[in-house]
Amino acid sequence: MKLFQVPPLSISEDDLIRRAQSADMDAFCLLAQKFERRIYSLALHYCHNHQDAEDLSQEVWLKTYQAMNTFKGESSFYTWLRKITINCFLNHQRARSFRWRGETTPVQLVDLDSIKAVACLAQAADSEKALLNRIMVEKVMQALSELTSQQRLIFLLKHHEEMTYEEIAKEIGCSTGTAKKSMFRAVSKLREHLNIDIQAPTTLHALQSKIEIGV
Amino acid sequence: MHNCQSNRETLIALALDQAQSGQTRSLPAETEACPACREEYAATLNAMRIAHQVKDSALPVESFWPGYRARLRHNLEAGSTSRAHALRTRTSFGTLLRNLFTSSVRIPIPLAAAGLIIVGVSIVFAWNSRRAVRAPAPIVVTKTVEVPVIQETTRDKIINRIVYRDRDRRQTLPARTNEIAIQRTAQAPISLVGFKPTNEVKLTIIKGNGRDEK
Repeated sequence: MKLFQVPPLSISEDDLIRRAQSADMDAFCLLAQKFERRIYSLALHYCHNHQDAEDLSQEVWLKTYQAMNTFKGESSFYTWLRKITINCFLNHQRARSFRWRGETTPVQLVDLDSIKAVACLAQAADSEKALLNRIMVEKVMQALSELTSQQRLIFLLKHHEEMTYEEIAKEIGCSTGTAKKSMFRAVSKLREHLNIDIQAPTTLHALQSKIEIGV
Repeated sequence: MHNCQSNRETLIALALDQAQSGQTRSLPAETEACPACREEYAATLNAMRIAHQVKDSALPVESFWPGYRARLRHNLEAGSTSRAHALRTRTSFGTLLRNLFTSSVRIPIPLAAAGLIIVGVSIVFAWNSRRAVRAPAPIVVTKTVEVPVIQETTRDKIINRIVYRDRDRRQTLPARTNEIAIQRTAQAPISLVGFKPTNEVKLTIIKGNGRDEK
């Protein structure tokens, strides 16, 4: 099987797009390589597990490849790609709600006080920083998993993609007010899950040092 | 008038902006003056900072990506293969159609003639039956409808009128007339022969009075 090659610097995005439009798979793969992490990150935060995230992101790329000829260059390639991604996410959401209607996502709540204990137990396997990172990622994922799919998608588009509320509302097909409310709800969930002491410094490094000194 | 509830949206926007840019933003004066809003802002900012910092931490390790790309290529090739297969299937279907209309078979002449006759008779029969179906005989529906008839009955009217003669006038008739009548009666025997009773009475009414005569 042929693997991706490192994209030569001389090939511009426009060239890659043009070649991909004429069914050049190599060019498309090089193009995908440029945005794969962004799309995967969005999918991962949306699905909150790696397997689903990979399936969903691969689906996005497949649809993009099939629709390459419809790209007219009226917007940037990433804007167009994001539109396909959002549609894929919304379709996934519909299919999932049909499949899992009535079922609830099991959420494991971990209190920040237990971070030190967990860190001590896993010290041999991983460094504290990496472990802390992983725990914080889990907490963010848990907070997001308690939102509805639409609220989660709105948060991701605002927080990760830095889109305006108007753009989000247009893309998702909801009102600007709904987008704002969803964002507020997501932030409230994050605050609740991260259980942050307002007076204390709250960057990851600060939390790490907090664990180290045993506060 | 400061409203904490309506200020929440601004605080989230500020916190998001600050978390993403990493630069410190100054709070509006009214938010700075309100302790509840300050607290809200600090908590939101902390949550957003953490979410922002772990954003990329969630991504898998570097060794994951070659496998991911290989799977993507495989999926793309599988997608292309299925599309090519669909195209091939369509092409072969076209060929089949062309062969169906252009190919010929050898059959004996009597069999062909019999087949042609059967086909011809079937066509004629079908044509006639279609015509029969097309122009059906008109259906006459007979219905008895009762219509009320008004019969005019003619009635004969019988008018009886009694005419009275004035006796005084008869008495005042000239004596001569009476005498003639007496003579006639004496000369001829009284007989009702020739007497014909009249059915119609002619009545002449003369309008007027004594004054008009004057």
